[in-house]
Amino acid sequence: MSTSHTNKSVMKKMYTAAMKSRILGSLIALVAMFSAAPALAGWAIDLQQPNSAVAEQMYSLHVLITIVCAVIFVAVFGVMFYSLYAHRKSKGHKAANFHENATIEVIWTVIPFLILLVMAWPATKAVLDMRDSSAPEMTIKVTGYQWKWGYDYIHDGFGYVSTLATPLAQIKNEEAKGENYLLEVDNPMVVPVGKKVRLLITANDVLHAWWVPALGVKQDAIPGFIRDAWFRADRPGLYRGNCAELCGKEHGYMPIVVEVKTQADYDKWLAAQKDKFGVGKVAAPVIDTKTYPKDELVALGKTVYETAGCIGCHGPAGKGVPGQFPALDGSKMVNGPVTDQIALLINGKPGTAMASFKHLSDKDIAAVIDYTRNSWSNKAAESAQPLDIAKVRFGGKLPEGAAVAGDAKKDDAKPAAASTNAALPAKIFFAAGKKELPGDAKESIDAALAFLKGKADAKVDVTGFTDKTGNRDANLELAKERAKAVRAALEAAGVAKDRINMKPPAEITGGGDNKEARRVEINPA
Amino acid sequence: MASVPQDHSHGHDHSHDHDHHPTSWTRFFTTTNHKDIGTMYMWFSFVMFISGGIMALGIRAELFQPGLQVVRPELFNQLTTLHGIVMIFGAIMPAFVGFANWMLPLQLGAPDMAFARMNNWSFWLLPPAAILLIGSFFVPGGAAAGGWTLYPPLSIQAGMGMDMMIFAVHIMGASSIMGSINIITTILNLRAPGMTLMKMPMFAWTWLITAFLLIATMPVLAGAVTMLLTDRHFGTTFFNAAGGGDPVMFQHIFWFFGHPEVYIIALPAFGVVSQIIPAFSRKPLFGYASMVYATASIAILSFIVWAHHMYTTGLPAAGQLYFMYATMLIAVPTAAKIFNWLATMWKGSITLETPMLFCLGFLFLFTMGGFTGLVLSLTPVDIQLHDTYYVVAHFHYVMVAGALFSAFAAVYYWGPKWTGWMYEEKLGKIHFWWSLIAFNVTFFPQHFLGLAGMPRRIPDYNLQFANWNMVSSVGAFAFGIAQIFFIWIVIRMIRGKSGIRAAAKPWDGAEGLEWTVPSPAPYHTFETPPVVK
Repeated sequence: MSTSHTNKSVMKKMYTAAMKSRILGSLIALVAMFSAAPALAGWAIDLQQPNSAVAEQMYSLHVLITIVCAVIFVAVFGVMFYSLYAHRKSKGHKAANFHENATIEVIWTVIPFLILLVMAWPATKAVLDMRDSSAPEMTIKVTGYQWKWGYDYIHDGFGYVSTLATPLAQIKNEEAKGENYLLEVDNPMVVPVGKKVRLLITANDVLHAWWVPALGVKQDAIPGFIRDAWFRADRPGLYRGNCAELCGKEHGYMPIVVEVKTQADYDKWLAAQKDKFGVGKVAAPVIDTKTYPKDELVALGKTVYETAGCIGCHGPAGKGVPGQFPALDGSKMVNGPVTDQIALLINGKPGTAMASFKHLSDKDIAAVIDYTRNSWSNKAAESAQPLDIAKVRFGGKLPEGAAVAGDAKKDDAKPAAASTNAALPAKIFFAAGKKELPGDAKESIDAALAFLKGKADAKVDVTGFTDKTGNRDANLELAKERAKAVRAALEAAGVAKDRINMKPPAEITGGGDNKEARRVEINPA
Repeated sequence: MASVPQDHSHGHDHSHDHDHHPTSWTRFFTTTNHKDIGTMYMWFSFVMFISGGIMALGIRAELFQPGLQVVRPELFNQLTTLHGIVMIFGAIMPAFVGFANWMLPLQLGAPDMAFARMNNWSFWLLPPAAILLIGSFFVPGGAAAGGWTLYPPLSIQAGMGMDMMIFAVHIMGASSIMGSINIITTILNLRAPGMTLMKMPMFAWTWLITAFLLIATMPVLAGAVTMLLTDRHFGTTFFNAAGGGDPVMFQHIFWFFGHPEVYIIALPAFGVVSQIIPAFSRKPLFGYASMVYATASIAILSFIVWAHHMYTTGLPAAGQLYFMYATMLIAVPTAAKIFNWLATMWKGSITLETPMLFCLGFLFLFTMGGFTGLVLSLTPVDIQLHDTYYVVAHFHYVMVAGALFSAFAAVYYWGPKWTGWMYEEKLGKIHFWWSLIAFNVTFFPQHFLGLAGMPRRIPDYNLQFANWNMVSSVGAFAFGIAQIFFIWIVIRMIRGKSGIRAAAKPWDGAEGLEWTVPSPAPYHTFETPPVVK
């Protein structure tokens, strides 16, 4: 009985509220209810929650015009349905014969005009705000490629490429789809909260459009031209969008993710990026001179082929798309002189969809070349090694003073060789989503033992990391579990518990590609 | 509709045998008779409507669930592209040209179209264009996949399917221009004595204005696609910044054609509705003169609003504001037309036969499409909604509800005149309610999808969009089946399955010269012009 009593009082309250707010108010309430209820996410009927002042204006303008339209619609069709009901022949209604009335025609021309004038005012204000990209606090150049986004932090001297992170298996319905299916990327755009960010938007090949609904930005990316747009994010978080201009086959697969961080976190991220990209350092590039066995390169090349974008145009069987994208299977380029193919990958082919892939490491480029040269029906005579790529990259000869490394740290080499892992810091790489210690962890454990052996007061820090895919909370848990697994292994090897510090990372993701990111680091404390 | 009127006595004795039409298999290849040609236009239109509909169902089947199931992304893009072109140029435009061919001479009291041989040629250009379009699916690289708007540089990247599309557009454009010249000349020169311009039926008025729109815009489209062709094959750089061109220029040229195109489709539909609503309200059209002026205003305004399709290209703020104001202005004459139709019904003596039902469906849904158009006219709102499913919903409310529903209304309204038999009222009503409900189930949820952030032209989507997509796909299949039902109704009408012969004037409230000739209309009519008082 108490429930029904509550219901009654709730209903009474609602009734009074409705009486007060009248039609307009309750319509707003209805819209707000639908947009605010997370339970209805699968049946969303409204614009996404805005996260910038401009998006806010767009949102309220849409609510306003929709209500105005709905009210007029109800009024006009109220008249029509009344007429259909009352003026029917079956009810014996005799037709009148009027067919003109200048007064009413003037009225129904002037009234819509006045309504439009009223609507134009807030809309004009929003347009002027939206287009005022003056006095930005930071600038990012955005480049659309078939089918990925490039972000250049032009005042900070680095840039990177952002591609879809959803696994192919999910798209092919072989795996369950994640929450952010098709709306997740490997490297999101990162910006600080509350700062006016100006975007300089262009494209490399065809039209694209950079769109993040919550930030109120949609701007076409036009090859050969630069357009600008801006936003100022109100709250930190991850904001997702899509390419909004048809750009070919994989148009549906080039999402946009903007990670809005607090200023402090952003500064940390910025420093890490500058470090990673060697901004401000004069160190000469590290060149990988090691000769790798062909099988290893071909195997790596298959992964590169599938993840770097090659497969998008040239297809899993190297057949391309006839008339649009050339086949690699049996191709002259692939079976001909390797230097031509290297030059093509480094420089791209202007005017076509073949973009430059120079952002890949020398080893990755060599690997993908060797993969194409030894797959399908291809049996090319020549093959490539990372050093060959470096030569083309630097215009034929290596830059003076280039450091030469047997296995450059950019490559995703496994910590297999004892030489690289004999001392700390050591890294243990995990399989995707797994917290179990991998089989090759022993070298790292041994390295930690060796480090601790001589020094009685020495300690180690154990820090777990994950890759960027998946839910943040789950990743945090996974990183912790991985660190625990390493601690357990250290303890099993006889290290006292108090000599192991469990140190949470500043950033649980990042530090290279996904494979490199899924790791536990053992550092000297 | 292809039924051949056997009864060729219509009250006149002829010294020569006008009512004998050719009977050999060459009849339809060589015919210069406006009724034969009108009939062919309509059958062609229906075949293309079904082809475009099958493509749409391919799209909706893929979008039934997230993930890739039915078609590959490249085929998906071909389907969306060809669905658009086939429906606009193959289904809707020829349907209304078919109505014009059949009805304009009958409404104006003319013996035939002004240029009878050119009329034959304008029709027979269409099948080759259709073969180019449909055939392009089977060439290397498949059909054009850059969207019906053919934006470069994507359309320059494409394979030979794009060239076939370009040639098809050329041919269909030539056909439309010839058809328009014919219609303008017929209306201006072949009206019966006494029928002044301001006494013409509204259908003739809307077609007169539409024909001028076609003549003004089709060459613009032809120019744009020719520039695409030379950019593709002859090294020009009209749309390539590397050679001093601009990809956005294509959009300006395209939409200078594309926006009037919307009214090319909508105005004849307005004409049909303006004939039918008075007939079933048994009351003259309210504000005939202001309807004519509103139609002309809409046509003129349609030339100065094109860049509202391009708000996201980065127009200057002043440009965005101008195009926003101009676009909003279109609401005024459009609203005036809606009010005029309502005032026509007001205090009428209304009956709800199938043609009237389809006109009311048109009013209801077209107004909805008009309102979402108003929402989209506001630049800041359009920034969020451009290239999303909201736009897809909007233009289907305008095109399907606007053009297709009025085309159905026209078939039910004039069908008895064409075939000599009444259709079956009950089946017609089922067709209406079935179409109306299925249409809304298909397209209403697409507003929600667009608002929530689903871009158009994507074969796969995030799970948050799954529910409404599933609803929409179910509706689409129901809508498709309803149209198979429609053709069954039409075939039954042609065969006289209702058993009710159509009188010369089967609708007691209908006005116009077309109802003064017998049903089915004889092969030759108005050889002696009637006199209009």
